[in-house]
Amino acid sequence: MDVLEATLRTRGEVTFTSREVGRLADTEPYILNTALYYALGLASGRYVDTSYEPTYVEDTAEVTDVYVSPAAPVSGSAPNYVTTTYNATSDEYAEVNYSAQDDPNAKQNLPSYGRRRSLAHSTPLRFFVISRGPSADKLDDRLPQYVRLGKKRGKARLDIQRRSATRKSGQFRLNHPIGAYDYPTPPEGNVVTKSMKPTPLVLQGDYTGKYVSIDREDDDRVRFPADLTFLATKR
Amino acid sequence: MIDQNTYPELEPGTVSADEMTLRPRSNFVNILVLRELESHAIFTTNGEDADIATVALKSEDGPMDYAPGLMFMRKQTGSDRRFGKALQRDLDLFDEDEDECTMQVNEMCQDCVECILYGSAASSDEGSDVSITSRVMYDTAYSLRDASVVIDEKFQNAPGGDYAKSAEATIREPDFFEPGTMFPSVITLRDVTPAEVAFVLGITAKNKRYGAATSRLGRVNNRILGVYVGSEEGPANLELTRETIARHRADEETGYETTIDVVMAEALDPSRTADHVSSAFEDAIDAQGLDLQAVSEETVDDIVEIATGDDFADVLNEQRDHSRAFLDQAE
Repeated sequence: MDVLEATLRTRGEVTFTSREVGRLADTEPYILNTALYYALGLASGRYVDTSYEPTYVEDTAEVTDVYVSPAAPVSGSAPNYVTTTYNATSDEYAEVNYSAQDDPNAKQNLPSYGRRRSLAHSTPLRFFVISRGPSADKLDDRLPQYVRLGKKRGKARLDIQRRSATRKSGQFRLNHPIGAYDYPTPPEGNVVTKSMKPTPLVLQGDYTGKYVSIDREDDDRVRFPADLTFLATKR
Repeated sequence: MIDQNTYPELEPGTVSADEMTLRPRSNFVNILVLRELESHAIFTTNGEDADIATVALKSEDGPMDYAPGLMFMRKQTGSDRRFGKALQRDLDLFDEDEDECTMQVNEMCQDCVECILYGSAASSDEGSDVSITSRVMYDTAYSLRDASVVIDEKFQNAPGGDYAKSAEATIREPDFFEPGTMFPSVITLRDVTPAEVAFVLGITAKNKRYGAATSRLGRVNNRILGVYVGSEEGPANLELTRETIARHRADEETGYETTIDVVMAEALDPSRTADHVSSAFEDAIDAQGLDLQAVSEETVDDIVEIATGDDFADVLNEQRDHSRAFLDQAE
């Protein structure tokens, strides 16, 4: 079987609010598959939101035969960061500046200035697209070459490579992140997790059972549990 | 009027006004712009320093890098949005009993063409807790030349008129981008109607102030180099900028011997640069096999003329009914 390995290279700043520390919003160098399904066009969001509840499960109901892994930094490369201050001033010619004590808007969560630490251009991140249904060729045709990601829709380029993979069974170690809800069985040992929102990541773990081993030529093999499903335990 | 029947060329990358749907589809309009500074400009994120990136380039002696100054995407969005709101006020798009729409974070009307196209978050009105995703996407722009030649620190002293001075810090040395700095830039529109394309083209053609202190600085000439429509996005500004530098280097008429000569040049010719940016974009479409086609120059000029004219209010008024219908689908 063939698996698609995608290298995502940021082309400007890409911002996610992985963590908010006061007025600083920080971006972790991981892109969750909750974002990738939409960015790749496998699921569609909505332009107008009135419910304020995520609809990942509904939106991906028809693509459960394709698994997109979260994206993680390419080994040997450090993410490129840029920190910026934003200041959202209004466009009126004259406006009242209230003191902090009398600000009528003080109780509302309306930050007009703050800082963002974003991934800067040319940060390479890697993810895999594993299909149980459509062939790798067909999927490759469907994937765009440029995607928009994150809070401010930063631009990124996708380079896709075909990799051959084999299904095996036995003991194996997961060595590329998956979403914690994407596989029902918890790992047996050597677990490394990362708390992320909205879904935590399993970065590493030992499992027993069926797995997919992806041959990456000279590089390390990547092993994933077989039959991963996006948000499997939430369906 | 501006719709798919009057301009069938726009059809591959736009939706017709009564087919606006809440779910994203693959209709893209790429507006290729060369932003050229006509006065000094301040683009900073901390009030003092310009943002600078390090970008790898291919040169005749192997890989090298240069340090372009940045025009972040929000420096472009913010100014264009404010201009769009002002344009709507000029065209009397708001009824007398309506509150005018502003850029105040929680006081956007969410009802005008601008709010619905550029997106807005929940307003302060009770019960109207809608948030709208922007269908206009910008991309960080990189200067063609190195920061060491396009940026200059200028000494500012605001001493006041008193003879006896108190000890106050009134001296600063912010970074100024020099006039003549050019930023190749693409504005991407997704699932928009032809009238909305015209709105963005009109804003791009007329808006001339970007960055800080725009009452004195930040004059920009936006050259609209082309409009490309299709089912996907075109190359990013970063690639476009790199490729434009390579083309300047290869340009025999200007005779730059090395890539360093280009990025360190005292000045670059704007119209040659415009040609290089256009051909870089078009060649990238071919090389990467992107599904994009150019809209003819006459059509673009025609639309820009309507969008900057007095009768544009009619177009926006008609679009507004469709935009509202689009919004109503969410309820």
